[in-house]
Amino acid sequence: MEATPAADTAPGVLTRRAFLRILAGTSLTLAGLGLASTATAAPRSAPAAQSGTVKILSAGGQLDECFRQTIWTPYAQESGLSIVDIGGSEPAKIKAAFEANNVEWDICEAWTEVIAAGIPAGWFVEVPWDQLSNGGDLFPELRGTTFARYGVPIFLFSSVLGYNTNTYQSPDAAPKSWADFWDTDKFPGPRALYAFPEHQLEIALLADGVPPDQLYPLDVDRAFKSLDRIKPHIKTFYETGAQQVQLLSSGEVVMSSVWNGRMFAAKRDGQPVDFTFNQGILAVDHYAVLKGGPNTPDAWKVMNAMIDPKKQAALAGCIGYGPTNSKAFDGMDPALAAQLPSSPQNKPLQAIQDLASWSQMAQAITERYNAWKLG
Amino acid sequence: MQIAGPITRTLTPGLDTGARLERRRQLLCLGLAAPALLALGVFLFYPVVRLLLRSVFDPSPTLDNYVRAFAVPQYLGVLWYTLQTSVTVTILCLVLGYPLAYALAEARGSARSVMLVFLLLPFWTSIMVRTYAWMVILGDQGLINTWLLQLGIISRKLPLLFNSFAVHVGMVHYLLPFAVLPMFSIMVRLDRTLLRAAQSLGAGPWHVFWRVYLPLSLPGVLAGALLVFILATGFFVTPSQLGGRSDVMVAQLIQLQIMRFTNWGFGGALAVLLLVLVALALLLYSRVGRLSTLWGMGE
Repeated sequence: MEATPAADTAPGVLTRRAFLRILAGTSLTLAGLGLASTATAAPRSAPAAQSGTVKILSAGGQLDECFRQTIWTPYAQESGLSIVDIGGSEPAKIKAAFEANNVEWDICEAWTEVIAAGIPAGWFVEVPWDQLSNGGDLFPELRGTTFARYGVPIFLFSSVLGYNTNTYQSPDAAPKSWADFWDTDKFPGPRALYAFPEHQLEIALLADGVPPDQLYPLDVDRAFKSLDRIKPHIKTFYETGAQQVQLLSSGEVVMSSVWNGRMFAAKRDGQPVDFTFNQGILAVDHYAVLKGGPNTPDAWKVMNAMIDPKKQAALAGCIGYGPTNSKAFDGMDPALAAQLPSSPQNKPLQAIQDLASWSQMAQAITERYNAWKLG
Repeated sequence: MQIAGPITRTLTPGLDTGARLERRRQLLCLGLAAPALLALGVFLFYPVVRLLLRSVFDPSPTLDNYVRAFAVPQYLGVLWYTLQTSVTVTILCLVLGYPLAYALAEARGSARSVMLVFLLLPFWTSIMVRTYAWMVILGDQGLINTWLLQLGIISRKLPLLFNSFAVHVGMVHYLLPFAVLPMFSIMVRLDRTLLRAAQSLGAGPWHVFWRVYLPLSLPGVLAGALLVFILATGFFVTPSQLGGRSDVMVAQLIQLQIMRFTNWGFGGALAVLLLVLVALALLLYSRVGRLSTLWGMGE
């Protein structure tokens, strides 16, 4: 049924069989060489420290824009260093870099799955807290966490209840708690949740009546039972910050769990959205220094700049994420402070996420959450 | 007594030079193709083969990754959904694309150029932008719902977004040119005299189409179907943005395992299963049609 026999076997024609054999041979040889080389790889000698350049594997998007504007570019000018940020930090990229013995970044954003993969694999350099002059001014509870050994807490963000202001035209009419989110009689309409379980399980437990200080260790079964009750009203699950804003401002959903920084920027842009800090889930975002990076000494200088109080205050003004340095609130515009998750009036309303337990169970719970979404 | 062999060679110099010429031609072919083959080998086949090997060797020789793919129910369900959606999208693309390809093949001169431009223009737009455009069109506050409500044709909003319907719309929109172009390339080379011959024998227009045109255009249809199917199985942007919670395709899960969880063994296993699916489609195609028509030979 294939090509006519004559054409296939005429002398001199590169037959398909021959072609496929060559291709298979090449790729299997290369694969074999590849396996052999990784098995016997001698660690590459660290490249000569690129003095003056610090590379950051960061989150990308609007967050990086703000970092550049308020911290990286100003500090680069002050110190004479060159700071290059590369967006798109994913655990897979870092793992691939370590396997190839070629870690090309100094600093990376260490979010939950990065931590989960990185600590057992030994990706991070221990933080030399005595060398970081700003380190002493960080909120004490952030210095005491398990991950503070390897990562520097840079900002605080919250998952909060966001809603569309065309539907709820005054804060009194709007939902104020996760119980309200679950109350589809009093507040009818489609909702959205995050495509990953982080913070969503906490939200489900709070909606079910669990007091914020008794959230951890998470009663996962109870959380999923609670989620089952709201599932028919979830129109879609957002994966990015941009999606959250789009869903709410377009009115596709009337309320959603959102990241406060996104709401901060959207409100500033005049979008019809608002949110409440009540029952928010407060989380820490760390940055870490990678072992074998090209310029570790200067990396710590940049890290110190990232926890400088003035710079953190400027970052907060740009993206609405909370400073981790308590001195950043000194002399801050009260209107701005009112919008930040870590400010004195907002912090007590929220529950603080337990990052350690999340990084251990993130994978298993995500699989269960995906199954729950499909079911 | 055998006097073939060396004596034959010296006695028939023509044959000897011919064979050498053929071998030189073969080497020339290989030489010309070598850079492309090398690039393909290094950047495509080598990583793919390494990933496949990882699926059975990570962390140690094991079939656990495959066991997990079959044991945990969500993965097979997602593979099934992927297969279903790919098949429906393929059929839709063929049904919509055939008349379009026919019109393209029948059009002359500038009309055909203009039509081709319109067909290919979407390739200049990124798929993310196109997906967001569909969200604007299909959403509750989107174009379609607003118009229909204002015209009074409907009294309640139609749920057009975040479901299977939206996923199909988005995928067909993207894949239609891939169906049209192979069909068009076969139709345009169709021998029109055969159609006239059928007419002269008394066949009406329907019969001419059904008994002569359609069978002759079938290789193009099959080629288009295969291309669309293979591309459809790998989709993940469109279902994740336009789909509802149960519209998950296997590429999304592979991305999750590989990028976020660094389970390269398990992600590799899922990728192998997807590859097997595509290979089965190719096998089916080779039974029904001629694989050689995919790259224009044998016709």
